[in-house]
Amino acid sequence: MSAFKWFESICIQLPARLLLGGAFCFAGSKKLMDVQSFAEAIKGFKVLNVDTHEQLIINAAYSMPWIELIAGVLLILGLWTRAATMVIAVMLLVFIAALIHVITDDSISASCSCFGDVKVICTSPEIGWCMVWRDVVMLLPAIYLLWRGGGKLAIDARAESKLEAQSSDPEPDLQPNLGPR
Amino acid sequence: MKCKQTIIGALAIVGLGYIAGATHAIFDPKPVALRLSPAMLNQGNPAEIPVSITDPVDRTDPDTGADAGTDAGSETTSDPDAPTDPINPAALDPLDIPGPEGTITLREAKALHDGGAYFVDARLEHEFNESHIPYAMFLPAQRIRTRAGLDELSTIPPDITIVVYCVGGECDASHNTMMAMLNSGLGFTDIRIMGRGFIDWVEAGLPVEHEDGSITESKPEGTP
Repeated sequence: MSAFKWFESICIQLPARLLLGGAFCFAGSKKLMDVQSFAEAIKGFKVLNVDTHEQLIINAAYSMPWIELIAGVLLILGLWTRAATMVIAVMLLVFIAALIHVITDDSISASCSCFGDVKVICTSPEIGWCMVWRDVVMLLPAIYLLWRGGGKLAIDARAESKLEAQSSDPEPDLQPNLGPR
Repeated sequence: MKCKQTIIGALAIVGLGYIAGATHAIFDPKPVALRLSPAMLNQGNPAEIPVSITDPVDRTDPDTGADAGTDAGSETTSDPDAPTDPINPAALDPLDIPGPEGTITLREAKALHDGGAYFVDARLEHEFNESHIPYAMFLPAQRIRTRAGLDELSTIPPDITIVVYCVGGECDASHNTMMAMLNSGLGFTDIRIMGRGFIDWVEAGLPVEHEDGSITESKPEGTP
């Protein structure tokens, strides 16, 4: 059982954390380098009306890259893994919904700005199904990590094992009498 | 229990991100702006547009019999007899169909093009490469905010008339590009937005520059 857990941690959980966390760190930092473009991209998606929700779009443009960056760093470190993964999974679901909204509405001509000005996997500058599938693929490790946690190589595991050690280490005077030796 | 901890942790991450974002917004030297302010739209000293009346519409004055179109002094910025009532776009010449408020028509854009105004293409790169308005520069907002884009932008004289265009319809790209140009600090004084898009320009039969550098009048099939 322990061997499987080590295998799972090294071969599945660690690569999943590094890839997903790395992708979100990269996306967040690229967006932070040009917040104006990201705000224009959100406006271009036409999910929110700029006349009535301008401030909300601006707030989202400033906050979302920071949330991506923080969640990405936590995921790489394996600290608060499930919480960071939940944030990432929810963001991916929102991105997927927004992309489908743009694809299905022919009147919208928007650029993705998913990774700033860098094209990752999907080289077409226009929003298409490739970007939806890319996010769906990224959602798979997120679901796995949400289910299984960060693994033995995560900071969470060390903290948990410390807690377990503390709780299983009984006080000498409270040790029950287990009978004659 | 774990689920509750996860949700609380997720909310904490979102809250932390929001605080970081709010702090970033406060200390951002170039705050994000999404709409052109009236001050931005009316800045500078826009030149008059020398629109020449050469459309096929019969403009013979019923009283004098003089043809306004043949008058040497017919170069004007606006037609005083133009209807001020709500316009039915279907009844208008394609060149005169108005775009959103504060933008110029295709006719005005063509007149500025003939007069040597700079045209800036705000569409996607592959769309620009395929075809564009002759001599237009590819400078969408995102590109202007890069060093290379800014260098290219600085080659445009600041006091010249610049026309920005994009695909068409409710295209935000032109506004974003105009805003980026105004925020570039290069002191542009006369930037216009072509209210109708490149698609309308092509459909109106106006000249188009293709990938191979050739320039053609893009009159659609079936038009005289």
